[in-house]
Amino acid sequence: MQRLFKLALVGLIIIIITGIVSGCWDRIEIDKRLFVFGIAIDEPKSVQKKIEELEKRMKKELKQKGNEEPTLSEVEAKLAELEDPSFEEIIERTERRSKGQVRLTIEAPIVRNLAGSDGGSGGGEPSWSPATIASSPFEALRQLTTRINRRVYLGHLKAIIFHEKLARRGIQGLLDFFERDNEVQRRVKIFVSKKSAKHILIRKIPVEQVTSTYLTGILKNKIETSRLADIDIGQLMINMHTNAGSLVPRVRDGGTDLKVAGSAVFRGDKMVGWLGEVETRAALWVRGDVQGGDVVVQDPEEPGKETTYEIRNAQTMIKSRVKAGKLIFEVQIGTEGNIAEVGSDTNAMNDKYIKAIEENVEEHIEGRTLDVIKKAQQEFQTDFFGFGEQLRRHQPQYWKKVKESWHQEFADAQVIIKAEVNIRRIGLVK
Amino acid sequence: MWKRIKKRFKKLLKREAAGEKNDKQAPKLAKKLAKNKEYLEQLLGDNADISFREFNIGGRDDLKGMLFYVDGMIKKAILNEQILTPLMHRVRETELALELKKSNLLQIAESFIVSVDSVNKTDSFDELVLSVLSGDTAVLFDGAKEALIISARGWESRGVQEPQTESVIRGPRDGFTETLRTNTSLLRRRIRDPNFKIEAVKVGRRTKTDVSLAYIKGIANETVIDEVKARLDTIDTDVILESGYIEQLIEDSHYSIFPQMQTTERPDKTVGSLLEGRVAILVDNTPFVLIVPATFTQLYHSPEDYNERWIAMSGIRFLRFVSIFIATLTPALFVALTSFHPGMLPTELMVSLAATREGVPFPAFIEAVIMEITIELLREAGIRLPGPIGQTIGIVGGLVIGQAAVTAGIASPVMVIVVAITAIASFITPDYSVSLSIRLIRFVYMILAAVLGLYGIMLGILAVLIHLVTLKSFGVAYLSPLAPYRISDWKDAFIRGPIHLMTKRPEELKPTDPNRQDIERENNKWGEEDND
Repeated sequence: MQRLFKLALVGLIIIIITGIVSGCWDRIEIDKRLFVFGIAIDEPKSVQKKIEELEKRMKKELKQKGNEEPTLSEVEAKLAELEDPSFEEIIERTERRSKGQVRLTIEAPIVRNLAGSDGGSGGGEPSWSPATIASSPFEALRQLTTRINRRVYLGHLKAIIFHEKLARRGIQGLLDFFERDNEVQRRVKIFVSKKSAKHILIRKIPVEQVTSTYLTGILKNKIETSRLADIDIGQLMINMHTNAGSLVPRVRDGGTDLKVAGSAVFRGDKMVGWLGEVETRAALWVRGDVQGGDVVVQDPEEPGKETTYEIRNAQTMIKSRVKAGKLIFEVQIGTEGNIAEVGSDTNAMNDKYIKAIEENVEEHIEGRTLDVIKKAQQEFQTDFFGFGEQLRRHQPQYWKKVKESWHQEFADAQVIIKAEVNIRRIGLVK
Repeated sequence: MWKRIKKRFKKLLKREAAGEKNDKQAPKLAKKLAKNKEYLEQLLGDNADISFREFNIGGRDDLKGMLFYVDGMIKKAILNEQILTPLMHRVRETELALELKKSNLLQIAESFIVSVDSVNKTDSFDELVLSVLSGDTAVLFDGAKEALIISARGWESRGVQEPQTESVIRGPRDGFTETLRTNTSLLRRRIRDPNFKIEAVKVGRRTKTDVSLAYIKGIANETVIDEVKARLDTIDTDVILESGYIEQLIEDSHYSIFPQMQTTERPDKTVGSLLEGRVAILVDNTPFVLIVPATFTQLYHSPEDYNERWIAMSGIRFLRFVSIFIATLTPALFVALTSFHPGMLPTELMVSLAATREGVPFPAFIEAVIMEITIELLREAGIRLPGPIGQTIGIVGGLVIGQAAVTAGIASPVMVIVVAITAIASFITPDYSVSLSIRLIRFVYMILAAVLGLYGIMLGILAVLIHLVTLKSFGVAYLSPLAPYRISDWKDAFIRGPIHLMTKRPEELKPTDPNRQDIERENNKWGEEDND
């Protein structure tokens, strides 16, 4: 009996202590959190530019009031009146640090307007995009809490968009927080934008309420076109730390829509250049990541007209060997597919015709892939195809030797491409 | 262990010694009827329902007798026609009348006159009084040192009806009643095996309740039977009103939240358990029979599982086990996921959850507690109220929880779903005692979730599992065949295997005869034989 009381007492103490000591750590009700779906990271406008802009505006206003030649002191007085908090902040920050600043914009859904089904909603903005300028993403997020009444939560982060300028400067420092933080998932998608990333994020798309969801949705369409190579933060960080090359999808503002196609080439954490849509697909052929898409080739019967081959599946095999001190990669691309469109008035149910198309497609694939490999070797000197990984797996001894200077080594390697195309179906009509 | 056995043994010895002493002091019947009557009247005379009826035998003044019975507990027709009439009148018309003397009166009455099937003799007042208070009729004769105890019991009782708590769609509709003899007959009708034993014990200092121990000799493990007997023997209380009293007095762990015996109103369930090698404890005045040893999985079995075909019933049985987790964990998971780990929810679900919770003034935990307590209140109210009013409560409750709480902004619609699912899942449990435990555990999990999130829930699950694996019911591990792991018993634990493959009784019970069937029928061969 006494033992029992002792046990009960211990249990009671444990319950009380867990209640008090833990302080319900981490407990924030779901409706008290601000979920961040997307983050855009830009380089802020230079301070000088902003001040000039403001001064111009002030001058204009003063002129409108009749003051033809406003003196500098008058403009400054007007500026002080303005009390632009962001302006003051900028001034203050410039004094503190003059380099390495980022403008961070978050996209947070307004769940009340998003859910839609419950009565009364539907109207209203589906998302909200506050922005701030700070010296690092973490500081920016903390700074944002002075503008947001809820707790910022990154567990549902879907996309991070980088501005090209920042990407070229290197994203190691910018990504570090997202790698370290326990809330951020490893499947956050990364994008690079040529122009302002903020403007991508705040572009409202009618079909999808949240832009970040729209962007990641487009990534899923890669099996339809293979014109983009998606990458998530986990993979990018692995590539970053191993100084490997990566392809990061490019996002472009299309005025009424957003276009995700083509890619930014990264070597380690630095962006080195762009690949177009077709080049991206060529790169994917080599990587073996093509899952679908179309290849338009000359119609063999009627030159000038075009016939389309639809990719149903594709595999790539890479073999590596060293011959006379020169590294040689043999890439075998095999694909199966259908004839999707016939441009000419030909009976497609014809062995010779099908063979001819197959040859044309093979030629097309080989040509394009060789082009992109040349570009990678000469222009970027970056291996974003995974040749290095192939070497590491199959020739570890050799890999150890060339590991450190792999990208130069790759630039000198010889790559042989061989494509094999099999047309399996021609569609419902001849 | 040894110490406990020794202790028990000592206790038994002491009791036996005490019993012998009692026997010596027990008052015996006297030869004179007047003396006996005086004794009985002194003991029971001031009771309105106790009757003493004196009469003369065969119309002779010197031969006197007396009936002694409790009014309302006997069959009056038998008393009048088979006892009183022959003794008073019909005996005169026979030759026996001449032989009747004071000394042989009892002998002749028993053998020739009283035409009732069950007649016993006793010379002890204690036994006489106990029999009469149990519903027997005593006949005392002047000049005899013994009395006849005639079993002509008959009182108002409920007939055999369909059990209220465990109804089935396919299966027998009879259920146990409050009369022990009826209950044993329901069992005996199903098992015509001479090895089926029903042993009687009396328990309760004052209630002297009849308790029967039913088992099948040669199937049930002897040590289990002995253990049950020994534990019944240790009961020393003045009142046994229901089998629950016995359950709580002889269970292994009094401080566990889980029931360690199965209670049932169904004879078919009881017989099924007996044939598995379990022991049933039947208690007079209650339709609920205890079955020991019980395992946790067994509490989730229904007799219908065996009456329908195995594939469908396996699915349904599996569903019941899933319902345990739904009933215990759903509100806790809701609290943990919305308050601690919103990252684990799919984005769309998270958005709609957050939207529905917007404007709710309480944290999810308080909201969950309010709603769960409301539904428990409703459930309790529904049980205690008579049928028609109970329905009204259901409607009012449904409206209050369902609609009004949401429109008033006290609860979010998702919480209503969570509470409803939990309630439905806890109704699936076939055993009422377990469902009570699960209802209670739910609140513990909710608190743990509110304090520590999923981590707390995990700790809670671990604590309960640790408790469950240490729990035993009459020497059988409560969680078997899960732990200890007995793969052969899995055929009838979470699924219900095909009957033709169930050739062995549950191993966990260590039955004396482990075989149910001798041949393992592969596939039905009779179709092929016809073709030959």
